[in-house]
Amino acid sequence: MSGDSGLTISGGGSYAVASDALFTDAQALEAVAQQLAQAVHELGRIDARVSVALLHRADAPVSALDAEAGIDSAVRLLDAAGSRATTIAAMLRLSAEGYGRAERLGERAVQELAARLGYGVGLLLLPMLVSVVLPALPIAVATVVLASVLAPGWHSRVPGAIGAWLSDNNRVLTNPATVALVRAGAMSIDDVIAGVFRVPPAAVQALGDEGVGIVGLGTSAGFFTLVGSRFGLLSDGPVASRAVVQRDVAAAPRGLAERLDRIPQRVRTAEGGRVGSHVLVERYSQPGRPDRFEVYITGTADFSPVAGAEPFDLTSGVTGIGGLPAASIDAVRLAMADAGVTANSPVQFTGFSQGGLIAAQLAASGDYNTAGLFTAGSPTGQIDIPADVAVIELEHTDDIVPALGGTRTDYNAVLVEREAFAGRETPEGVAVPSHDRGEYRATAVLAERAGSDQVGAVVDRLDGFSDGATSVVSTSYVAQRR
Amino acid sequence: MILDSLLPDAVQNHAALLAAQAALSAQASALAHLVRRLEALRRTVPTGDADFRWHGAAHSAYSSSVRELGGRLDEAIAVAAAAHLDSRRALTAIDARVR
Repeated sequence: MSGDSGLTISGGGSYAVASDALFTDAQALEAVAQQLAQAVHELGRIDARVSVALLHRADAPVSALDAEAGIDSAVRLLDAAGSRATTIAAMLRLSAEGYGRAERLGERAVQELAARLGYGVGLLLLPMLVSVVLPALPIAVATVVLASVLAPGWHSRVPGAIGAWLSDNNRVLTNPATVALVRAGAMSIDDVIAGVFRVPPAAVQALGDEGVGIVGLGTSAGFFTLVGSRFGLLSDGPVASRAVVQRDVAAAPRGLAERLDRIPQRVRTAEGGRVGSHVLVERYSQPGRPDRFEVYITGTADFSPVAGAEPFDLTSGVTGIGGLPAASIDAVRLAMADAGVTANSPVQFTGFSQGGLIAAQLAASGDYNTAGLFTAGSPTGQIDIPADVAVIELEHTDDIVPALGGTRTDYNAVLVEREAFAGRETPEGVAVPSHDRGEYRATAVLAERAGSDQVGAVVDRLDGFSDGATSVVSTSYVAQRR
Repeated sequence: MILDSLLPDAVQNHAALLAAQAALSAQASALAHLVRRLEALRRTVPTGDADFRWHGAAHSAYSSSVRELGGRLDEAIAVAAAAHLDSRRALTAIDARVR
C-alpha cells in the first residue's frame, strides 16, 4: 500500500518508531486476526445449526457428517491462524517500540557526549582561540576599515557569498549526518556558554537538558539575542499587522498538502522589495455554533541578523526558538485578534519553517483554544504541545532547519520523517533544497497516502475541524516592524 | 417427545429429513458466504515484501512468518470450502429423498 513511501512515523503517544510500511503491515495483521476471530465465532454458529443427532435421525448421507468434521477442522485452523497473526503483529509493534526506545537512548547518549564536548570547548578551546585571535585584532579591524573605504557595502555581500558557496556545495548541508550534528550542536550551545563562564560541571549537568532542563536551547537563544543586541544584531522590536485581502473561499482545506498550499508566501522582488502576506486567517462559520479559525503562517522571509522592517526574519527565528516574544509571533497574535479570534474560539494552526515554530509556540501558550497543529520543516523539537491537541509535524531528515529546534521532547505529536534527497541528486544553486516548500508538499502527499493509523487519525481530526461550515472567509495579513 | 413416540416411524423420518434439509441448506449458504469472506481476507494478509528498512535475518524471519500465516489461512479456506461442498452434496441427496 505504501511500502515505498520512505516515511518514518513516530509519536502519537508512543515510543514506537518505524517505517509507515511496518505500521501498515501491523495494522493489516491485527485486522486479519480480528476477522479470523469473527470467522471462528461464525463457524461455531453455523456448526450449531446442524446436530449430528439430527443427521442420524434423518439418516443423512455421509457427506453431511464429513461437512461437520470439516467445520470443526476449519475452526481449529482459523483459530491457529488468528493467533499467528496476532503474534506477528505484536512482534512488529514490539520491534518498533524497541527501536524507538533504543533511538531515544542513543539520542540521549549523543546529547550527553555533545554536552561534555561543548563544555570542554567553552572551557578550554574558546579561551585559547581568543588568546590567539586577540593579538591579531588590531590588524583585523584595520582591514575591515580599509575594506569599507575601498569597497563600500562589502559586508552586505558576505552572507551572499556564504550562501553562494553553500548553494554550490549543498550536499554538505543536505545530509542526515550533518542534520544530526546540527541537532546535537544546538542542544550543546548552553554547555559551551557554561564552559566559557566556568560554571561548575555538576551544576551544568543538573540544570541542563540532561538534568532538569531549566537551562537549554531556549537559554542559549536568549543569550545570543542578549549579546547580539549589544552589537545591533538580533534586536527585536514592536510590530504591527494589517489586513490586506479578504475574500470568500469555496471550502475548508482537506488533508495536509492543501493546508500547505494555503500558507502565504512572502517573496523578494527584483527591485529588492517584498510582496505577499505573512498570515492568512480562515473563518469557518456555521449557524448556531461559534466561529472556528484556521491560521496559516509563512516562514522566514529575511535571513539578515540585523532586524529591519521584515518581522519574519532571523531575529524572530532566534527569539522564537528561545521562547521569547518575537516580532513574528506578535504579528500573528495581532492578525488573529483582528480576525476575531478570542481565547475561546476553536483554532487550528498550520505553519511552514518559522511559521511552524510560531504555530507551535501559540498552540503551547495556552492562550488559545487550540484544536490542531500542522507544521512542516519547523524547529519545534523542544516545544511541548498539550496532549489534547491533534498535532502532525513533517520533517526531512536531511533538512537542518528542524534540527535547529534541538531534540524532540513531545511524544504526543505525530512526527512524519522522510529523507528528501535519498538516492537522488540535489538541485544546483539552492543552499538547502531539502527545506524547499515543494519538497515538503511532496512529503505531505505521501503522508496523506500513508497506511498507518497514527497519521490518518490526526489528518481526520484536522479535517473534521471545519465540518459543517457554511461559509469560509479568508483574510490575509502583512506585518511590519515599527 | 411423547407426541413423537405416538407418530409412525415414516412420519418421524420425514420430519427429521425436512429439518435436516432446512439446517443443511442454511449451513451451506452460510459456509459459502464465509468462504467468500475468508478469500477476501486472505488478500489482505501482508506479502512480507514491504520495505521496513530492516536488513538480513529480521526481515527474512518476518517474511517467512507471514508466508506461513498465508499458508495456514489457505489450508483453513480449503477445509471450509470442502465442508461447504460436502454440505451441498448432502443437501442434494436429501432433496432427492424428500421429493
